[in-house]
Amino acid sequence: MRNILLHLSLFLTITLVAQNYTVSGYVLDLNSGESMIGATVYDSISQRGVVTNAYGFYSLSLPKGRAKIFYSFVGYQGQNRDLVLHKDSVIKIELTETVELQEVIVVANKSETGVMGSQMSAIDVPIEQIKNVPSMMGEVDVVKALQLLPGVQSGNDAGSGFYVRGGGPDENLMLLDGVPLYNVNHLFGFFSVFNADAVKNVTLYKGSFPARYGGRLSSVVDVRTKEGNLKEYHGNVSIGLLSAKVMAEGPIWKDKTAFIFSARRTYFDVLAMPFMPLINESYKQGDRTGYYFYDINAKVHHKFSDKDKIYLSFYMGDDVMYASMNSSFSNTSDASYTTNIDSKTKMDWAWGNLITSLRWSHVYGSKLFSNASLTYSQYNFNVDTKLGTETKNYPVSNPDFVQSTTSQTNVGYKSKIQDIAFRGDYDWMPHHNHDIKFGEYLVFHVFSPGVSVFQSESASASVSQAVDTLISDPSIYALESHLFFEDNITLTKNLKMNVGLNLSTFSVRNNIYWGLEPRLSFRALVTKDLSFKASYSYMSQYIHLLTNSSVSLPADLWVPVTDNIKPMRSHQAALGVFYNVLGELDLSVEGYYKSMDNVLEYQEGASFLGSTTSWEDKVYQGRGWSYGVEFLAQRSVGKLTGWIGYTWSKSERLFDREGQVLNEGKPFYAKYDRRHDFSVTLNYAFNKKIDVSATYVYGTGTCGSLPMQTYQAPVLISTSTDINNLYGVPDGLENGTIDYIPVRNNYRLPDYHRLDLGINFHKKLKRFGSQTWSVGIYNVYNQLNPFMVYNSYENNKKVLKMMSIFPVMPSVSYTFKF
Amino acid sequence: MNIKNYIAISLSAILFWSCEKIIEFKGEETEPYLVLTSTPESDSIFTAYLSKSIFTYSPDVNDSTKFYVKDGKVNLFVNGEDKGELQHAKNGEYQHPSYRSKIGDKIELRAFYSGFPELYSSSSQPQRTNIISCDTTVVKDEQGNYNVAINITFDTSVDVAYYRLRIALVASILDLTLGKTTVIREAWKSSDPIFSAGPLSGGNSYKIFPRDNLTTRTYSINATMNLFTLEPSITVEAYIEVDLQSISKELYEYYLSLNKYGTLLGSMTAEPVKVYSNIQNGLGILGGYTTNVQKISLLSHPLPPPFREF
Repeated sequence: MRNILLHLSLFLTITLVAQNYTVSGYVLDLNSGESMIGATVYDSISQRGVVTNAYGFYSLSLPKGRAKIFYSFVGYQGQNRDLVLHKDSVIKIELTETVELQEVIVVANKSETGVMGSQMSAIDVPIEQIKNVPSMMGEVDVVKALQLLPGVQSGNDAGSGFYVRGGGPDENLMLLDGVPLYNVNHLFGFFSVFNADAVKNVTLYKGSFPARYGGRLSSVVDVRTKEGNLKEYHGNVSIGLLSAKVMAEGPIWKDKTAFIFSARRTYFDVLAMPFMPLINESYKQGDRTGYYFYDINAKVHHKFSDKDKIYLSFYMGDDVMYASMNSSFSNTSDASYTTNIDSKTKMDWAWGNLITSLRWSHVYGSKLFSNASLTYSQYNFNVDTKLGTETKNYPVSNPDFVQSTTSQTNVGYKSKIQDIAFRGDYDWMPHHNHDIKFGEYLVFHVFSPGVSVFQSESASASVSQAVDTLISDPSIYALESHLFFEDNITLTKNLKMNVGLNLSTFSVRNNIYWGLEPRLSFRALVTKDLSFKASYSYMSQYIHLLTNSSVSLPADLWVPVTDNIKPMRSHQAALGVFYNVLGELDLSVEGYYKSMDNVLEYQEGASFLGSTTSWEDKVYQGRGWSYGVEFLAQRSVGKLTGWIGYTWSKSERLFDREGQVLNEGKPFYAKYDRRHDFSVTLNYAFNKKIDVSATYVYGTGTCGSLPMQTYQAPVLISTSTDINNLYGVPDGLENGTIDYIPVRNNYRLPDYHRLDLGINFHKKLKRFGSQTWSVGIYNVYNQLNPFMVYNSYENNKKVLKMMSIFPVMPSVSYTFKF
Repeated sequence: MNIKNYIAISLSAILFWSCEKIIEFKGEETEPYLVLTSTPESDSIFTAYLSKSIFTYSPDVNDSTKFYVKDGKVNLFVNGEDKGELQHAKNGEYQHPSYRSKIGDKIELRAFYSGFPELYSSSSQPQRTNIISCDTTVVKDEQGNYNVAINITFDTSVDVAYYRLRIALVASILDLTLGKTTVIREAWKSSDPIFSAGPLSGGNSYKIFPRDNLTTRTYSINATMNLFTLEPSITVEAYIEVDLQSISKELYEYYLSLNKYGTLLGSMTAEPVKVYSNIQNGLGILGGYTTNVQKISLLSHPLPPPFREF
């Protein structure tokens, strides 16, 4: 051991004292000034290279003397810089888009996620690729595109449910510019909140988590939005079947300050309004009912110098469901009175996220980049229902003598989670063999699980009554912190590793939980096109989502760990082979094993809805494990691009702790266990005017619990005429039969498969801007995929019924860009 | 139909078209189970039921005769002694010709039927719970309805782990149309904390609870029951029956799961419930109970008007 330490210190000493100079700076888009994430910076003489970080910054340590640096990014013309280094240099590079057909890429083989990098189980997905995936109703959706990648599974048909390597839907850290989003769904989970017009880059981590990420077990989705064009004004307007979108960006102060604004709103409620009286005969003039969602993204950034930038960003998105109905009723059945009843019902449901962040980026010297963020995030859910009634009685004998009674009832429910956070990220490149990231993340959570309001007033000429009740679960305050450190170390030309540590703490109600989470990944380069990788991650999660697992409901609640509900933990190890064929085709095969502790499952009979039982009394904690193999083949150059993904996986749970036994303490499949998952996404560009795309997905059905055997319980029915029947038979058991489910999640739903097609027509307009017509067909061959399966009765016989939601759905959208 | 109707229907169809269809069960059908059910009451004729389960989506489920096992064998052992074979009476009901279960007896059952593995189960008859007092008072509530308040005090020092409380208003009402009496019953309610511990509450007519929650040597339960169905002029008999049963752990678990199962039947949001079984190699329940019944006549009760004419 002493010898190892001696050699290690000698090695570090030798490498650190060798005379090196640093070349640092930003890589930007020439036309927009937008920073480029993951651009490659490579010196062909020393054969050293780095990629730009999430803010476009790079720092490369090179030996004294001549350097030949090549800057490149897929879809852009590379640039060479020949230098003679005798001091540290700052070089800002501005790349231009290639005039040839733009080539999009899923994983660049030189990036950290490809053959050359030490990162595994991660995929960079440029937004252009996402926009090319055929989509439901023409609505480009980031999360649905991610669901097509191996290792990621969707929940039910068309849902935005996100299940990564056997984990649950609450085990994904969804970051929008580094700020966690608690609800990423619109329209009960059929669409996600990310507006593709505002998004610049998406990175998905399924394992091998860098130490800078923490707080969830199964995945990190890091969505970065555009910063705004520093040079020119640009924008686009898009109209589809479901929504209209607008985006504008440009300089406020050229090359110094820029803004970007994007907004999206659905308008089905507006379009449907004139037709509502046809659908609903009781619909009256003045009535209104509908549903819509909207998103607003806005960002302003200012460049003080090449070393200092400040960003102010804002996101707001809400789902709104509303109804306002009037009704009148006249009753003349009583001969002595005529009664007129006028009632007005008003219902407003709204739920959504709000995020603001202030970020300051600063470069210290040439080796240290810092980023400090102050953020506020909230998710709230509000229900407000008002019912007003006015009853007037007109005596037949004296119609002028009116007896009037009014009543007003308000029922409300609110829940909210708020975060105020500070994050400091530091990138330090002390040496060409070390890329160190460290920092801290401190977040103050306020959980407000639920406030119910009931107000009632009634008044008549003689009596007046009022009730005003407020039922509230107390707010819960929690402090979460993460201290992290990671070093991306180049050991030799062929060996590279990323080693890191995340120290997390969570303080709630006088309890402090903590986790020391090591992260490790290793790459061995066999040839320049072939590498082997291995990784290990330990993760902790301190908050849970209480949800109905089939549909994402807005009333889903985030709750913290408590005295009884312990933090979830996971260990994940993965092995992989990465191969690049002729610089055109990236192949990878990864195998993983993940064990999870303290995962939650609902108890038998527990329901998230309609119960007064505390949530802690509805869940059990147990263990889980999943393992699988993922295959990915991607072509990222040429006219034909896309990927083929296949996953074989298994995910099981075991709940055998005392007092928390499920399934008789035996293992059972997780609800979204899916043995085979296959997807193909292809895009073919005939020329710059026309491109076509196709997606095919196939997945084994997910699991559910169904009864297999029915038996009689004679003691329940033998006494029906006896006074002993006063013992009481529970409701629903009068016929004395009991359905028996031998094993939890014993039934596998029918397999899921679907084909989507899309075609885009691009045209540059003579006078100004360009336009794109997009035509698509979702679920081309009208496969009725399972949304849910349930028991029902048909001709007095119990049958299985399957509900499908989305049949074949054509779509068309128009986009104008300037 | 005008063009607006077509557009409305098309829009609705495109955006919210959901369809459901009956699907064939495509899964591995499990083998049927042999089902043994017996809830012996102390000092009563010993009875057990033998049946077999049927695939849930089979039409045979609607025919109760398909469940019965009439030619099976059920052997009884009491405190280790072989009491012989139970005799089939009717529809899968088997009775022992002479044995009446006693408090403290350890009962074992073995059941056989061709094509099924042998079933085995055991349970012990619990001690009788001593009801110390049972008082009733008739009170008038805010709405002007008469209710009877019942206070039951019982001894918790007896070695009983689980209880089941049944309270019934038994009234014989003269039905002038039919010219005979009918029996009515009323639900009872109690806000006693021993019933509110999560899922331990039972249905309206009985409630189960464990002794774990009781820390004193005696315990009093308050319950109420309304009397508004009693028409004084036609009531020929009326009494309140309080039955405090000592139940075995097996029966407690069975009722607990059965209550949950019945309450959530048909719910699409609740996790399904598996009804408790203590039958090895099969399904069903063997769990005994011992009753202690008290009757309080309402006819002699010092009732306020309008019941005074009793």
